[in-house]
Amino acid sequence: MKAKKLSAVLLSLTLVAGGLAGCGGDKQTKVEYDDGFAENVLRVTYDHECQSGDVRQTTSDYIIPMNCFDTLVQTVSKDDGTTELQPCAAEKWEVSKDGLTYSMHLRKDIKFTNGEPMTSDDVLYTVDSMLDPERATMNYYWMDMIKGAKDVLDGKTKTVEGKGIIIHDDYNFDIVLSESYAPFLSTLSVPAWSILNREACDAGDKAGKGKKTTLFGSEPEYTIGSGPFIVKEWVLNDHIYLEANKDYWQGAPKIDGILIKVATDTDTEKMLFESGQTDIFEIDKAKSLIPTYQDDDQWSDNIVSTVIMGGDYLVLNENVKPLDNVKVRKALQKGIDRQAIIDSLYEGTGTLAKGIFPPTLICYNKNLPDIEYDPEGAKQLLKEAGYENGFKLKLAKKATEKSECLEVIQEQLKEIGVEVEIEQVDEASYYDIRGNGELASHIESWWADFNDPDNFLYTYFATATTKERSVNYKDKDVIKRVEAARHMTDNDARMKEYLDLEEKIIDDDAAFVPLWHAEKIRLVQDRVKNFVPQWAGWGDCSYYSVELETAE
Amino acid sequence: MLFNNKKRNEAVDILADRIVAGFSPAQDRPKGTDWIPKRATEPIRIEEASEALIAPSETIKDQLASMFKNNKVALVSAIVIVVFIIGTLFAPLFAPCDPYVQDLGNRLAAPSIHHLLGTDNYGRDILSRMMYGGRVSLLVGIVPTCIYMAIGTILGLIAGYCGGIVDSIIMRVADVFMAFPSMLLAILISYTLGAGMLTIFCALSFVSWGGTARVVRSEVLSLKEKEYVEAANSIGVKTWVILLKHILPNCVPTLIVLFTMNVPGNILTESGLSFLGIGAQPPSTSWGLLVFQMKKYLSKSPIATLAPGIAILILVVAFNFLGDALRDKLDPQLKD
Amino acid sequence: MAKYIIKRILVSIPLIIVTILIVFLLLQVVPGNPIAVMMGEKANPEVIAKVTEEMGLNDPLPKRFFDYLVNLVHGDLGSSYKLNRPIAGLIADAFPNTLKLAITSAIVAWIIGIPAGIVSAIKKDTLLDRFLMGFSLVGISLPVFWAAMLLQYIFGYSLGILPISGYATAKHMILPAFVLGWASSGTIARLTRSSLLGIMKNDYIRTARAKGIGETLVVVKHGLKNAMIPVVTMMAMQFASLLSGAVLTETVFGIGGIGVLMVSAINARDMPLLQGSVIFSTMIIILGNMVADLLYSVLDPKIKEQ
Repeated sequence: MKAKKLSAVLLSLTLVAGGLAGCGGDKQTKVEYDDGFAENVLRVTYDHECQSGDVRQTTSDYIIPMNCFDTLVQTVSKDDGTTELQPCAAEKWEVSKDGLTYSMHLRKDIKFTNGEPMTSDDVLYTVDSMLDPERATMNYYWMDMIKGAKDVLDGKTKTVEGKGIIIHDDYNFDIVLSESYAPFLSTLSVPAWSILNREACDAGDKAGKGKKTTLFGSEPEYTIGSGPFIVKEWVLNDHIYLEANKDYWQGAPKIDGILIKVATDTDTEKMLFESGQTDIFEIDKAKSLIPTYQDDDQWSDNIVSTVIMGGDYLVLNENVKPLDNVKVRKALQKGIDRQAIIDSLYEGTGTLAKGIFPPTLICYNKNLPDIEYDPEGAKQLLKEAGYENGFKLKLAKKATEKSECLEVIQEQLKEIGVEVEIEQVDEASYYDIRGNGELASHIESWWADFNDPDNFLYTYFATATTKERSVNYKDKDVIKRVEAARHMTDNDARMKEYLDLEEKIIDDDAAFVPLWHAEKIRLVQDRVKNFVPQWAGWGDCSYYSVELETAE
Repeated sequence: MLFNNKKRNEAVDILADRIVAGFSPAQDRPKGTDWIPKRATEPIRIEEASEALIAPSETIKDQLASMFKNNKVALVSAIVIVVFIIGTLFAPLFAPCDPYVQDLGNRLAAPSIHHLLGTDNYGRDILSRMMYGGRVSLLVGIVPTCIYMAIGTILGLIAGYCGGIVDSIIMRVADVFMAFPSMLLAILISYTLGAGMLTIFCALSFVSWGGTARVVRSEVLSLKEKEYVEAANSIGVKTWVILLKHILPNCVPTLIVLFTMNVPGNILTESGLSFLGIGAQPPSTSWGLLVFQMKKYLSKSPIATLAPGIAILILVVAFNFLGDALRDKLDPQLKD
Repeated sequence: MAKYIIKRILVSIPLIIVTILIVFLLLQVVPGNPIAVMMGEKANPEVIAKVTEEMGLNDPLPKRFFDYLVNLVHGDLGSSYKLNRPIAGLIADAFPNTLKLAITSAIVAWIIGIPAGIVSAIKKDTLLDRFLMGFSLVGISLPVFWAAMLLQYIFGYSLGILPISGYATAKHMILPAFVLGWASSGTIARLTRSSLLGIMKNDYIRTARAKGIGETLVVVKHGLKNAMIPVVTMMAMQFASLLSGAVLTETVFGIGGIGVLMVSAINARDMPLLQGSVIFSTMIIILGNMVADLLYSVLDPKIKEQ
């Protein structure tokens, strides 16, 4: 009977309400781990299946390379918020005056986990295989400024030996560039420059019966690096286990291993963390939870916040009317109350952006003028531009976009007469349309790969990239300057040039509406000690320094 | 031998109808109909033949009236559906607040006098958003169902009546559509056309006609053997007239029941698709999208994600109850 | 019978080829480049163009289609663009999870549904009947993803008695199996009930009743076997459908099965993976169709006699 059905529904609702109001979220003192791994294992989560452990096959999932491989140089963040390049696999280096030759000296005590020592030949192999067109790698652009690289990329030669990489002996070699690239040394610290072992990679190719189908990077047995952890186990869509490398040249890690669990859902992650099943929870993915934790005595001390070296920008397409009018763009800059969004949606985390460069970047300009929220001023500017009655603006949103600010921006711009239509597209279509330079407006979240302004400006204001990012910046002069700045050898002049460029682009031309610089916020369990976040605030991170306090 | 027999083939077809009814794209588990017009399997009796000679439309109206009189559950269900339809269709009249107005200072508020179901993550009134969202959910539930049932009926009529190669072709095409994972097809269509309501409409309208076609076809197969059809044929009445005047009306009860059973399937599918991220676009919404959007606030404001789910549940239950009652009433074989 | 099976398989081959063609064409029409998706925010236009060329994605469509078919005949399903692993391996890894979910949900569905249907039929029109049918109806009407989410929250998180996600142990399967099983049991219960009722009206039942045997015995002895025929075929169909992947449930509970594989393949425009999983899923459904047909013809005495 319907009545019976109704009461059954009501009963279940009560149960539900009771369950929800009830317990859950109390810290566990002694945790029984569901996963079957030892206590002294750090447990983290990944919100999708990790693409690969091979830097030649992934441009975004770097958790395995960052923990299982070494780069020549590393970027380390210091207490004062700046970063510094420190030796890693290379113990020292010299740079020639013309900025073309980098003489590198490898440490002599680095061994890969297959027993092979790391030598100059491995560095050569790393470069050659990254450039190899038969591998269809996506990260080759990190190395294409090396002399001879273009020929390898075009399939004309097989190696840059003797041209781009000159080997003096097992531990000493030179990297020669085809033209000077000022941030080159910085770029040597990116995960794409993880040094690979020739023998191990060849074995992976052989076992997989081909370069494109190599088992290196997907099978633990064949994914061999020199780093503090070893890929031990990989169950697709479930977990990856990285075991500590007792023979690591910097010393064995203090933890037994890292367990990376796949948890596609933020709610699942939250539940896993609160029940103690995982050790780190990236709560910036679910910012509404932040105040709950801040107010909760149990958890308020466990919040680790890192400034992200990056920025969020509302990108405007100068090919789309009326965005080609600088007054219109400036009006949009004035028409968005960014602080309100930070305060409400982002629970106060993040700092207002004035320009493109984030506060921790080496040439951050703290003297840039603030961008005021001024709806009246915005309306005035629109009137001057001839759009007194406002206009329609399309704002694109990725289906997987976790950002909620779009709808607030929509409401705010309504006040100045701009009618925003949010177009949701699935991720692949989004990149397609953006790549054609056809997105009218969209929000970009860029974070630094290396600590240099070129990483920011070149991405949006070079000839090819300005179309690819749907900016279509019109000032050809500025674009030429951006492309030229990479080659400047005088560092002071170069920094000044970048500051100049930023002012022109943001203040004069209002190419973007700078939004904010976000923070990477994590909740970390009590037992996790010495956790060092990645210097740029990335999600992927090296856990080498971590120590776990075992419960009594 | 077991498999060389014409009647055997027909029986397989009938079986196929039963089986095929399980292939609606309704979310994860196959929505089966536990009801197949029994006419197709039982020998024809004199009473029924004469019953069939009566103009069917009158009988249906009377049957519906008496059904509602006797079956309280069906009545309540029908009322619930009507209430939902009116409430959402006239949402601009009935909704307490503007569903688009944001109030960042009052986000995720608990239910209160001003906001009977609380506010969402932008401070918008949930009840109003549900009323407006209901339009989308209902529209997407009903309109595509009408479309694909129309397609399926036409094709089923043609296939059943013409037989032979036309029949084979149509049924093979139906097979392809049915074997293809329908959620996938819906997703692919929506990526091609861009996310949005039009897309969902297209995706849902053209994917599920196979089941209807098969059922109609089997109805036609049995009906076309009936005496009055043969009689009409022999005096030279045109094919399409026969189809329209004699066969189609007899399919109507079947179609009505199928309709009430397919609509909830579509509503659930739409909510599933919105849950996956394709579907209604912000700032407009649908119930499925509401469940999806508010899911992450489950601990802060459970009602935000519970309410739309319950609304879906109630509406679908109502449709199913109604469908049951209609089936009980309109299928003569099950009459006591 | 063997001839029938072979005939069915032969008929299915064009069906599969058509399916492959449809997927090919659809992915061509849909905007989006798998390389661009992989590079995501770090997209670099020159790299995208170059790698697209290197992976053979710019080759003419007929060539790609033909190459794919040739490889398929040799048993090579290709490699996923995104994960760079052989497709066969990915499916082989994902399918057991879907299988686990399908088996456990099916068992739940049958254990709940069949007895419920039988009891309802026997006790027709009583309160028990109405309650059971109401319960079944709610099962069919449930938005599965919503119910799954709710149960996960209550039992996994608030009460902490069941694992939140994953599929390693039997304990992990309880919630998902229950959610899907309840939904499927509704259909089974209703079908059992109506089928049994239909049988019970038949003459020979009336005769048995006239003989004075108890109601239950009447049902069990004479009606059940025949009544179960459509039910068994429905069970086979539901199982086949479950095997082809329950996307929503898998997503909520984090079960890496075929459904999730398909959806992620679409999102990444990973053609080989999508093709592979769709072919697999279609074959399962065709197989299920065939088994159900066979079951029906084997079980139904009326048809046997002909």
